[in-house]
Amino acid sequence: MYISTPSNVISRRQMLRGIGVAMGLPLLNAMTPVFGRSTTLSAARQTPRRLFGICNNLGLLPEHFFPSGSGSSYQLSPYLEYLAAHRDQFSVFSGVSHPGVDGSHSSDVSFLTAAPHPASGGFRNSISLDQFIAEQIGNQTRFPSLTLGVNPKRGQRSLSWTRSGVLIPCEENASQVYRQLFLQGTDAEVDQQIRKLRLGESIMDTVADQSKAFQRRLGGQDRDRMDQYQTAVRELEQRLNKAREWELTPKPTTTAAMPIDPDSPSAYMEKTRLMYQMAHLAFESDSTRCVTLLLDSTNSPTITVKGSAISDGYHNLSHHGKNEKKLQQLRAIDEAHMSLLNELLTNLKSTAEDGTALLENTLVMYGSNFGDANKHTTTNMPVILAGGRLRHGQHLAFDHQQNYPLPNLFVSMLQSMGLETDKFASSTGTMTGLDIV
Amino acid sequence: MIEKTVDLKKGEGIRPDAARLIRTRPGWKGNPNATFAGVPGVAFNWLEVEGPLHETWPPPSYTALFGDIPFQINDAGEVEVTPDHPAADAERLLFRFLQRASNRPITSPREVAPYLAIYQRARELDEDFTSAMIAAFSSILCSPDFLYLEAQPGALPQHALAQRLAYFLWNGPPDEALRDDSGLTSPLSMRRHTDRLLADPRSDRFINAFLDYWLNLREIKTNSPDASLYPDYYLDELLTESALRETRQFFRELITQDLPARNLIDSDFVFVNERLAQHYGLPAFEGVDPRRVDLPPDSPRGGLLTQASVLTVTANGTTTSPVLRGAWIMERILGVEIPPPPSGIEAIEPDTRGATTLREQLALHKKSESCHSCHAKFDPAGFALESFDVTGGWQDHYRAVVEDVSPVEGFGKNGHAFLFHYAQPVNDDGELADGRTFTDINEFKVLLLQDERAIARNLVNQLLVFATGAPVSFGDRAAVEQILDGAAPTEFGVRSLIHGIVQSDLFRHQ
Repeated sequence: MYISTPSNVISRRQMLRGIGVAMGLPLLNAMTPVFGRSTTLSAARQTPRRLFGICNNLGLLPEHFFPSGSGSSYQLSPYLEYLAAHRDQFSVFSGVSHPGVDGSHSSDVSFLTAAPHPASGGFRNSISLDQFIAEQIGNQTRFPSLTLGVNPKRGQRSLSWTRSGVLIPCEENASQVYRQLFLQGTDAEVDQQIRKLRLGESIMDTVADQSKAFQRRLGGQDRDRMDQYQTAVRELEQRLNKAREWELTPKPTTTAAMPIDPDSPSAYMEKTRLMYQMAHLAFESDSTRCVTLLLDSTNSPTITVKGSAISDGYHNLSHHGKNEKKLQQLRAIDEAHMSLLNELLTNLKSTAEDGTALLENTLVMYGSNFGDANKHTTTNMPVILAGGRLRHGQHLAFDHQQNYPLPNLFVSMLQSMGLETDKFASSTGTMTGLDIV
Repeated sequence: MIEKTVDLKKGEGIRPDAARLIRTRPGWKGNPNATFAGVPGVAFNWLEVEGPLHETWPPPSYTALFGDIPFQINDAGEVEVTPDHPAADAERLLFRFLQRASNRPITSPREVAPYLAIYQRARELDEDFTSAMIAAFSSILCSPDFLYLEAQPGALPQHALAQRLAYFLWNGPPDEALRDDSGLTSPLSMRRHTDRLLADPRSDRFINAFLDYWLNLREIKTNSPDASLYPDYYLDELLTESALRETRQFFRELITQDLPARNLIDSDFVFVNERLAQHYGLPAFEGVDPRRVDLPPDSPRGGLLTQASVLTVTANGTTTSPVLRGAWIMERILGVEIPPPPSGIEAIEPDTRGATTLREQLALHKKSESCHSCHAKFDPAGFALESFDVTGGWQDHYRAVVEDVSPVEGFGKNGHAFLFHYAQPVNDDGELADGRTFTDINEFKVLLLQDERAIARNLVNQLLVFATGAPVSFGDRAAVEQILDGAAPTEFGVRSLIHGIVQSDLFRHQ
């Protein structure tokens, strides 16, 4: 008999690498608000602008994803056929990537940040698109943002990163998201929660003071590291403060039932579907304006796909080595993804808001950090952008050899949301050929 | 009857694993080893778990926080501490905890004030003594005093040196003997503590963490072997575990016996258990605990390069790449800096249909001078290792899976019939950048061993980065050479190198 060793234990060094995670965010999780009660915010509300960013970190088979032809008369590819009903509501891009983002599997952490060289030794991430937006409009909703994941590698993978480069951990249970969105605590629970948040703020205060004293003793060295620490403390303090303010505001109600979380990571597709539903509910109830969802395919086992026999782990399949059977299975998986995406877009389209469809007010970006998982390349990323106030219905085809910078798309997205900015990460402008409506 | 003592962390369990038998999986058509008499199996008559195994009561986890204050267990099963003098106890306990948790000397009780304020704040907010104390303890653990090691430029004072030594060799804080040794800065004392720390089981944390980062062993479970190409490894967790243990015990042996650093490239022994002995084609024996086994003279094994762990983390479970393995070996084992690949280069597309090998695709590198100048530095090391498959098993041919070629006969660990066949033969010959040639892995190792000092130098650099957290810069080179000179009498014995490091100014100065 041998006894297997655990892998879920975080080592000291791992902890120190993600210091913000170790320090702030578990605390934040532990203090997840049980919110108060009343419904609308202010009478003079503007139509909300939202973002839903989704990354499947094993990508899609490029030969079936990328369409032929360009502009508005392009031919839908086999995968894009699944989205045919929404042709006028989305754009597809080719020949795009994040400049300097290499690092194979590590690159998913840069999907929404575009921070270069994520696998290098001194890598420090930068702010992700959703957090950039949340900084500006996050105060208008109960949750500045929601960070979700399907089978995420805990504490290591996420699409959402703070300005100080600290990972925001993924919520991986749909039922927990539902609870946060809609379940109302009792008076006693709310009261206790407020006390806990107050105490949390005091702790952050104390820790901030200690770090200032530390910084003084330290002099000029390691200032960068301490700066990251202090920023993380400040960010957390603000979050706690904000959460406490919302504590007395009642939660919205919903007719949707509480989801039941599948207990196995092999129910990957079902989990994805539930997370899409939670994002939809969060937007519909205007609980947040920003949601990210990391589909951590790399960290997923042999997954279940209705109607197909999947014989090997998702990650292994992605190293298909041109094996025909694996390619068939991958295609079945990819098509299930496209089918779920179609469902999401259909639902957002059929939900009315302020005289238009929810989709019109919501940017849905779906893509991957991998252009080709078999080759582990991070260029020629597959990207679809649906909804929002952009002129869609086209294939923007750029150079496959010399890729067009994807951060330009982020700038266009920000501007379409009414946020005044002309720069995001390594952007060089707005995206050529993509107009705001 | 088997008896084992294991430390279980929260959420962990004990799982007996009949690792020699095949496992059932979806799509299983029946046990291929079944006969009319039945199927091979294992019966567990009983399993008895005794615990918790506390040598003292209350356990150290309690006394570290609450000392000798009495407690009770409430109806919800939670610990409720019941102090007689809450305010005074809080101050006393926090001071003691802060002294222990802080990375700098805490002498004045006044330093506890900010944390005591948290305790008081929590009490104001109606938390009971236990919760309020936990809030205050948590604040200490969130503070920079605990999270960061603080060192001023110049020679490290005694407490900082004690810390550096403990975080190096224990990957944790110093014990009292080290922390309170006022003569620590003397070379003799440092030497004595170094030997003491290395002899303590806590030094496993150093070996594990150092190898996790240096050799990337923490990624060993990232890729599992491909189910169709490598069904004989698929689901074989014992193999992965054994590989990890081998490398750790091997490195431990180099330290304990002060064996020369050249053993990293080639050794005449390995640490294997039943499963690894089978994997390496060594004489069979029973048992899961690794033991030191002398290698036959013609064995390709010995050294890090040919250990299953290293060969696993340098492959992706499906295919091997001489480029990735070669660059990895040259950088990590030999300390040769490899520039990142240029942009705009089409990546090589792995193909498991068996018609072409990666080696053939790589021949292109030789044709273009701009490619060749770099690839010549590391591709050869990868070529020498092409005889080892994705988990380090020996291979004469690459495996492939295609519909119209009949597969090899046999069954995988999952009970499924093999799907793969043997395709192209492996070539493991090559030519180093300086023109020296080799025909196989053994000759390749001989070439590397011609510069033992380079092997030792890289190890010293790797250990220095781990120990000090600072990169080894150009200006540090003379000091590194001095460490090497000091260990020359033992032919760069690994323990001697560690002693040289802790005595050097690179270690003793910030």
